[in-house]
Amino acid sequence: MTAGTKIRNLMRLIDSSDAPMWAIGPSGKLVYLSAGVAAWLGVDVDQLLDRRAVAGSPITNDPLDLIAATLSPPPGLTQRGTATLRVQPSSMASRRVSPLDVRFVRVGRGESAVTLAIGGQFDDRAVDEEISDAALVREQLDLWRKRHTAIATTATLGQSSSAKRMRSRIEVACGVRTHFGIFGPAGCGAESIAMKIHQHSAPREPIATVDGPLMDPELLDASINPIIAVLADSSESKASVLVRELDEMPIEAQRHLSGLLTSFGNRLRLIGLCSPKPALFSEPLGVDPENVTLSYEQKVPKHLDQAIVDCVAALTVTIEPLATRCDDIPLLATALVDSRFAAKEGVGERLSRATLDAIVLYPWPNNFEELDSAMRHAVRSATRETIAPENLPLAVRSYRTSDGSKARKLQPISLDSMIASYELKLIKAALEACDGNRAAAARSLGITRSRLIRRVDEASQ
Amino acid sequence: MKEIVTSLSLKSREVVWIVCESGNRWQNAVRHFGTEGLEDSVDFLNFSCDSIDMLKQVQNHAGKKHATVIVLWEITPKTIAAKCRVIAECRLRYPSVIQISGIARIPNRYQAMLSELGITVALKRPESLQRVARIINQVLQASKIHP
Repeated sequence: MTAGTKIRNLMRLIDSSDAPMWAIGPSGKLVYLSAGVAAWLGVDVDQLLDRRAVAGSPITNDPLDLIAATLSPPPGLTQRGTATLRVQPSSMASRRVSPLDVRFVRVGRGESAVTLAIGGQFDDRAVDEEISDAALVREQLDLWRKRHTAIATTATLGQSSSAKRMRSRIEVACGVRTHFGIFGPAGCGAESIAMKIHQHSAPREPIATVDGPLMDPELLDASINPIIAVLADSSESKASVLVRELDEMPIEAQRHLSGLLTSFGNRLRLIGLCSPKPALFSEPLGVDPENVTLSYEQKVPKHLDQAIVDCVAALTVTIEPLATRCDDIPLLATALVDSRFAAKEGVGERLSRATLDAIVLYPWPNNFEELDSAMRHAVRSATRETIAPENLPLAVRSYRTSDGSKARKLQPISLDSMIASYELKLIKAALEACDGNRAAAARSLGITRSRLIRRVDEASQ
Repeated sequence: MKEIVTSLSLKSREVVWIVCESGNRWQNAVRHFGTEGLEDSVDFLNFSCDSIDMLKQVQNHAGKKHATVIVLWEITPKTIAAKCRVIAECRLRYPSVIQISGIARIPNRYQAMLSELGITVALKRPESLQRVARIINQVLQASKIHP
């Protein structure tokens, strides 16, 4: 099948289709009837051309006029633009014509509007909330793609305030070539966002990517050697270095990197990917620049060289964990399903409401990457167009939210010490009742005298 | 949302979520989002019951001095008529109780009616509860710091 912008392609497709299709011209007369209509009605459709297909229009006793009138659209099409109708033409001679669901679409405006009618199975007359929800999400996705073409990595998608803030920052970062840092939890898609920013802010500029925690000064030199060579070749050339887990990079390697940044000036750009943003980045930096220890929210001490902090603080992008922006999860998941379905990875086309309910409650510890792999699994394992909860990975579909009330009320206790204390209480009561006679007290409790003495001794110690 | 803020008890030490639904969709959401940002010193209770028991349960908890009671109604076309009556009654008898609805397949014109009867926020999807619960808990937290 050849694709093209000429009407011939469409004509060929319609001709080869056996679906009944017809067109009603602006004057209300039938201007086209496909071969499928002939097969359905059992008449020569040439005879129907130029007959009025207007319901309620004056008709003759000619059975063909009657048939033409039954092919008319339902009332209100002009206002609504589309309508579905079960068309039931009158029978010709001895042949019985079965009813057919027909979708009418009004194309064009005013007096030149043409009505197209397509026969088939249409089950969209009753409003299905799931489908209308899916349509709404699709609209939001299309809008996002339209508005954010430049930064359209799926990880930046979302309607929440934090997603909007993130996109604003990314747009700024795309417009200016400067050092910047991306702060986010594991699996938040920071690297793909950083690469997108790099492509927009410094097109064709060479970039080297290094793993922060693995670096020492010598290995760092070896890893970024190609870009250092580019910078050394010409005083005009520029390059970028992207450091994964910058906050985990050994301090000696950080100092070496800051030395390189100083020696090459703005020609060498640093892109740092860090775990969630330390408070220090948004507070005045009144600390010892020689040895900075940052306190993160998790109370884990991190070490960042002051010069590195100064560079990365120039422009920061914060990505919130998925668990704190559940509103964005359906949109992200739908976008991921769309891309997997478009790549023909499976038949799963949309997520059912029950599936969406399950994924919004799951905490997504590995954030966007985990969601991506879960949607890939779901699309591949789905057997029909709607993805059900059973198509999700086991960890997601078996996740159950703990009962907060019970968890909060449960205090840590030692069962052994509680039992020992209760036992001692009973022994003391028995001894009192028996005027301190240990043998009698032991008998009344149904234990041996030696056991009673042992318990009393243990308690006194 | 402003209504939620003003109707919260300023010295709340107990947050009670009562969910009235046929399944467990909204109760799962309350369990998940209801405790977000809530300090351990605040008691969090959530349970599910039917609309007949609802007023009794509300009475039990709304009478407590330092409790914030939040009722979440699941409203579907089948249950809307019966629940509207209880929602209105609850609003009249216990004005301090925050009433939230989780709606499904309800036309927009009825959603406006629900707010007149006493529903403060109408949620269409469980994920929307996160934002509401966060605001409630932030206000509770703030009232604890500045009673």
